[in-house]
Amino acid sequence: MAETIKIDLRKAVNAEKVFASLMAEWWDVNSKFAVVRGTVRDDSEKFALRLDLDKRAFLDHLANPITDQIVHSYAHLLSQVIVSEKSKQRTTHVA
Amino acid sequence: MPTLFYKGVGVGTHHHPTDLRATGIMPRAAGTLDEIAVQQHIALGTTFSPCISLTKSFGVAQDYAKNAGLAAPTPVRPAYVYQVVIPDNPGIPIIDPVDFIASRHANPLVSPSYHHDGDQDFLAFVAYAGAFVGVVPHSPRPPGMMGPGTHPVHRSIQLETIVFAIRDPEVLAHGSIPNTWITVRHDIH
Repeated sequence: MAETIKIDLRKAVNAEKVFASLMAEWWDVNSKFAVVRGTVRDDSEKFALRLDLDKRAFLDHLANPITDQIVHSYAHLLSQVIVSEKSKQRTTHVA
Repeated sequence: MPTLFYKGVGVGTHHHPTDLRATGIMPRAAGTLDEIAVQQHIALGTTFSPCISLTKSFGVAQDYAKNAGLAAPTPVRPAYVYQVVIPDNPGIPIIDPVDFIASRHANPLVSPSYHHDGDQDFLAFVAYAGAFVGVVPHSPRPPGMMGPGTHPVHRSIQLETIVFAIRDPEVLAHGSIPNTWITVRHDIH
C-alpha cells in the first residue's frame, strides 16, 4: 500500500492566525489531488476537503458557509504550495 | 446503441458508502441545466451540482477513484469504478460540455470567451497546472506594443471548462441515473 505523505501547511501559506491546524496529505506523488485537513480558529469543527491541484479548487463544501468561504479562499495558494512540495518529493525520489 | 461510461468513486466520498448498483445516483443539488452550472461543475470541480459526471475513459475514472478520495484505497476498503450503460433514449439530458459551451460562444467575430492570448504552451498550463511549479504564463505582444512589465493571459472559465472536459472525456447527466444503468462495480486499490 502506498505511504500517505502529510505536511503542515500553516507556515507555508502564512495562515497561522486563520487556521488552528492545516495539513495536506496524499498517497500518490503524481496524482492531481490532495486532501486538506484542518480547523479554522473561530470554528472548532475539523474539516477534510479534497483539493484538485490542476483546477486549484476544492471539490467539496463545508456546512458552515463562513468557514467554507475562508477555506475556499486559500484553494489557489494551497494548490501552489502542495504542487511545489510534490515536485520536491518527486525530485528526491529520482535522486 | 447503448453507450458505456465510467464513474470513479474515491474512499470516504459522498457516494462511497453506497452500492450504486442498488440505489442509482442522485445529483447532490437541484437546479437548472445552464452554462453556469456546467462551468462550475467542470472548471471549479464542485460536486454540489444538479449534474452527475461520467467519463468515457476507465483510466480517468480510475484516477479519480484512487486519488480523489479522503483516504488511500486498500484491499479492505477499496475505491470503486462503476460501469454505467446509458440507453439511446435516456429520458434525461446527457450533455457534452465541450459542445454545450462552444455552441453558446460560436461567433468568432465577437471574440469567443474561450479564446486565450497566451502562447502555444498555454493550454498545457490550463490542463496540467499541477505540473508547472512556479510558472506564471504571460501574454506575448507584438514588438513595440509590450509596454512595461508582462501581461497576464486572458483565461476564462469557458476555456477551463472546455479544456478539463476534454482532459477527462467527461459528460454530464442532468438528473438521476437509475440503478438499472449501473451494471458493474470494479474494486480499485
